Amino acid sequence: MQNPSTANGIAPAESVAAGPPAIETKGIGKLYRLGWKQRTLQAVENVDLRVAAGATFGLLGPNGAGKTTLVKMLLGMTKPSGGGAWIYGVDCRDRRARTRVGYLPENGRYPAYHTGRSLLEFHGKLGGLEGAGLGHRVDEVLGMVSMRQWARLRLAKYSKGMLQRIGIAQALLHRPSLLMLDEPTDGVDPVGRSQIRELLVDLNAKGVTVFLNSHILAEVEQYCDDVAILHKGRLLLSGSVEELTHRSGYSLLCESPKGELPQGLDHLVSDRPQALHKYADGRVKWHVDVANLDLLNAAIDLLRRHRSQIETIEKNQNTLEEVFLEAVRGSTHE
Amino acid sequence: MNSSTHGAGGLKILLAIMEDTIHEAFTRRLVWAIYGSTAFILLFLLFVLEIDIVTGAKATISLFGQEAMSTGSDESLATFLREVNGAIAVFLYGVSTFVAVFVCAGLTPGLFEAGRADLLLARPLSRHWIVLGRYLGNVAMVGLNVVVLIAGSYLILGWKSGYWNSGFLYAIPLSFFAFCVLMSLVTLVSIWTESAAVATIVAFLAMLFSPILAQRDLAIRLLGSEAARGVWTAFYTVTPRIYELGAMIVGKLRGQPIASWEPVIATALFGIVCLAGSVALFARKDY
Repeated sequence: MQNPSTANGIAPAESVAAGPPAIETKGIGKLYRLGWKQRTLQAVENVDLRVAAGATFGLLGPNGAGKTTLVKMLLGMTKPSGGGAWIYGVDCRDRRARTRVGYLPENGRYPAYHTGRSLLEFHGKLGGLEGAGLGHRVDEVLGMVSMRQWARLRLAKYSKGMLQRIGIAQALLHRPSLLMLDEPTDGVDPVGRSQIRELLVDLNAKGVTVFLNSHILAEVEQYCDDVAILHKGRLLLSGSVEELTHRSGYSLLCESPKGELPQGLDHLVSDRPQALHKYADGRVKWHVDVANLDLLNAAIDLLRRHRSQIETIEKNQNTLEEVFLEAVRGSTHE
Repeated sequence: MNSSTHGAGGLKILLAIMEDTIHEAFTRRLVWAIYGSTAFILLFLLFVLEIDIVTGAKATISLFGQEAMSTGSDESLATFLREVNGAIAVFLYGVSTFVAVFVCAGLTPGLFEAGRADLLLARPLSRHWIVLGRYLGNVAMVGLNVVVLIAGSYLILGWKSGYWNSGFLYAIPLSFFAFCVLMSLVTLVSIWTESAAVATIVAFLAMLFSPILAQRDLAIRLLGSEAARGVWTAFYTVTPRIYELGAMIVGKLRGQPIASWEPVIATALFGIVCLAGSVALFARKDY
């Protein structure tokens, strides 16, 4: 039964800070042997990963990077050929490791003979729910993904986005502590994407660890605290989004009235200022980089005394996409 | 922690997957194929087949009002009716097994396909419950049909002819048994290949080759090479004895004791090996 003190039927976190990490892998790898000739394919190689309980974590990588294989090893669907993995401290080869996990597969094939409701009831029964409790919980999760009105329609009639929502609902049925979502917003319209993001934020606020496997880098950057980048089965980078996208210094855009920048500014800037545009009346638009906050303030004072107009000031930062592309290109050139 | 975080017990998982299998068969109208063919056969026996017995000495079988068979000059009425019952029992044994395997072979692999299996495997379930649940769901659905078809036919034939031979009812356990064994083969092939077509073909090959392989004594006499005789015997030994199970029904109708339980034992062993192999293969399989 739902705890009346919780919103949306989401249980509060169980000792988020204390206890083992939600996910931990040590040297995990998967070597496939294909065909009669036993050709080998190293899908995942020696990956060490740690996802703290209560975190929002994004696993990134190009197609064929080994992301899905890694997730399937964590869920015991694929057996590692080396190393090990633990979910909340339980070896992933032990099925009890999955008792606290809700999973949305990327290419889940939902049986078309089910309605949304009957699919959830079936999965609820597999998880030990029954009777009125089952019906109540099914109603709850249908409401959480805004699918109540379509619940009695056959899945064969569902759009891709509706199937994703039902998939998320089945992942939420058993009030998981760890949600592993493979491309959760794939095929979902912008309104639906926003609702799913809000739901995940809400779940995470209540202590649910969210592990996101997504190609949509902006989504991961916006939502996740930590990320890892996988390429050709190897872990290239991992850390907090803030750390990875961090670049020191600030940049500002300004207009100098007479075309020249004030004397003395060249002592404050970290790179030579770039003239971006020259106007007919002699004004010039400049891009100026400075290394730290003190130098930024000194540069602003100087520019203002010189009657330059300051348009924008930004803290220097890479986008996750830039970090991702740089990491993948660097790895490819090795 | 509550039960929902631990997952259901083995029996509940088994029942949930059995129920889901039957639900799938109903919504895909496969159940109607099985029970529809049963209803057709029973209606045929009820309305189309006529058994006329004249003064307790001569019997005539008519179909659509036309005489199809009658007692021969040197044949007793009881012998004639026994042979008719035998032919119908063997026909029902063959047809019910064939239809059930055809329908269920198409149903079974779906659950084991990547993408659909993922949803189950991500849950804290033992993989063997998933295999057994699917298998038993099919068996339960077909078992009831076998009882309805053969018991119904027995009652109609007995009512029309006044001839009641309980040997006819041996077709119930033997048909059910043959289906269970063939279904274990279908399950094994389904998990291995994830293909309904391959599973169906392999099951039908087992049915098709059974009467051929059963002619082992004749083959041993006719085959020239020791190696060929060895291969024949090996195939005969390791494949299910579907034909010989059918012959046992006729034997029981004739009131003969079962000469050897070897076909039953060999077939049961085949089924057990296939089912154990299915469980082991599914437990080891990477998705």
